[in-house]
Amino acid sequence: MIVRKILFIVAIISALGISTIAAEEVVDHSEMSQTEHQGEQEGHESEQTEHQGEQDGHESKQTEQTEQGHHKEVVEIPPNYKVLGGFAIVNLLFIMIGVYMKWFYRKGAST
Amino acid sequence: MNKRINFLDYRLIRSFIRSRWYPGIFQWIAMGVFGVIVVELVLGTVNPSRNFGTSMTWVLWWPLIPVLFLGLGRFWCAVCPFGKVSDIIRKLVGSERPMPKFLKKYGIWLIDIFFIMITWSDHIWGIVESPRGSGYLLLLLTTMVVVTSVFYERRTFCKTLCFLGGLAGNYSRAGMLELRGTPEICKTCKSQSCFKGDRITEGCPMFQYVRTMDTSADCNLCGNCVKTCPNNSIRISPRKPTAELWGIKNPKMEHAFLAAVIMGIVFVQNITMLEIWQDILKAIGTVTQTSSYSINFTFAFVILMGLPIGMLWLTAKLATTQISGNKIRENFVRLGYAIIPLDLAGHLAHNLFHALTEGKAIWFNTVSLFGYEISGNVSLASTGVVQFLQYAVVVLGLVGSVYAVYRIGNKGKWTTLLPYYALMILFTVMNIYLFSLPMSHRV
Repeated sequence: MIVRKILFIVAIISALGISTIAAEEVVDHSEMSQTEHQGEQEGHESEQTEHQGEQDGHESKQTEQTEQGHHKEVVEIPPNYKVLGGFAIVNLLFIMIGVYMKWFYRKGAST
Repeated sequence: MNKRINFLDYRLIRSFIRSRWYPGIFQWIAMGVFGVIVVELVLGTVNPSRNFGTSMTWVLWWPLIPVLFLGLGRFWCAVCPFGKVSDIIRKLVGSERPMPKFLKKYGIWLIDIFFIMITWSDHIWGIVESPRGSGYLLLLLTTMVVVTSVFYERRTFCKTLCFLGGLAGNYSRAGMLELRGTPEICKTCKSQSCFKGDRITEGCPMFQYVRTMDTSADCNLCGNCVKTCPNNSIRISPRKPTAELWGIKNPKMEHAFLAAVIMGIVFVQNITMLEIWQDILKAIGTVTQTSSYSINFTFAFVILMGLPIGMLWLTAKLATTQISGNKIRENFVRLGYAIIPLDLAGHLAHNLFHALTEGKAIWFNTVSLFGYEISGNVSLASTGVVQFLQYAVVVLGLVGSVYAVYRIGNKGKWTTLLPYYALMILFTVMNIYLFSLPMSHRV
């Protein structure tokens, strides 16, 4: 019972740990594009000020933005295989725990 | 006596739902598309305008989902890829242990918290506007599904942890489709196979017992009970939208709270996409004495999320003097459900903007998967048309909410229910005002 609870808590912590890595990644990305483009403000502020202060109507905003890719220059970055690997390992780990519990631990206990 | 329409009376529908093709065929299609979406999000371009995953998730699926809940209840949950992953994991390696008591007791509260946290994280780390962020969110949810499915029986994740499940549950209460048992048949039943399952089909994955089920909030329309019921007791019938809200037997604080939270999320989503958002942030910065986006956004977030909850509480307090004998908490809980139609309308109206002004991106990015490059204006409708539709949807939501107040309040005098009518009108005006302002795009 306690083991099960501990495993569950570990699972949640691992999952949240991965989300933190993911979050760091996203922050990194936004910081990258930010430095590329403006390098003066933080976070979202920099991305949105580009569009700000020059339009006064819904219509003008739409014409400017609805052309695909007209938002801003995007710097392509490669996939983060560390994060993806982390997800894969955590998921595989729990599947292995499932395999152990279903096919070895329980069968062993029943015999 | 009026006999209700039962879609299972139609042989073709009944045979299909009883067959092994239902809901499997839809699940495998959804799984395939989901797989491509995840791959594109985590491996494809980081340009959200060009990413197939971003446009499919946030321009097509997210706007479509409230319409599905309204029309078909929680049918999406029957075909959801996360649910299918859960089914597969449980079948292969699941321990099938009972759901922990704390999840049973606090499940909806956890959903409330997750929903708030995900919305907050989205704005701090830009999950929606970042393909990688969206991909990691989907992978995180997949991990949570895997973990819960390895240890626990049925769809424990969907029932107690999935934020979309919470949303689905609330919206489906206002939905137009219901699955129920026939009381005269169910009371003679000894097998309870709808809950327990049989040799071939699993029992209700959402822990429901059809005999006592009086809500569509926890029914996925997966058809398991239709397959397992030996007495043909199950019926699937259309109903008036919002009808379930009128007579909820056991109203719960967490559901009413979630209804208010969703309204807060609609406000957050709307306000942060406005062009004046930067000015609002600057104004907040003068209060917080910092230019940190995270701090200033969190400040705005707390206010916006607290606003509908506070307004509902205040209304419940005002109504206490009107509806003699009712306590504030009781009013909050009972009439909190009446916000759901406006939640649905606000969610739908907000996403109509994205679907209609960025809709062609779905086509452009889909053909780009096959090597064809098309670019150009992604808008499907003019701003005027979109705004007209948004206003119309919100007004429809108002009608649903006002009528729900009238019915939940036992058709009381309008003066008695005035605070609630005023609250619904206020929410409507706030939504309409926000939709009238210029808004930024997602992709």
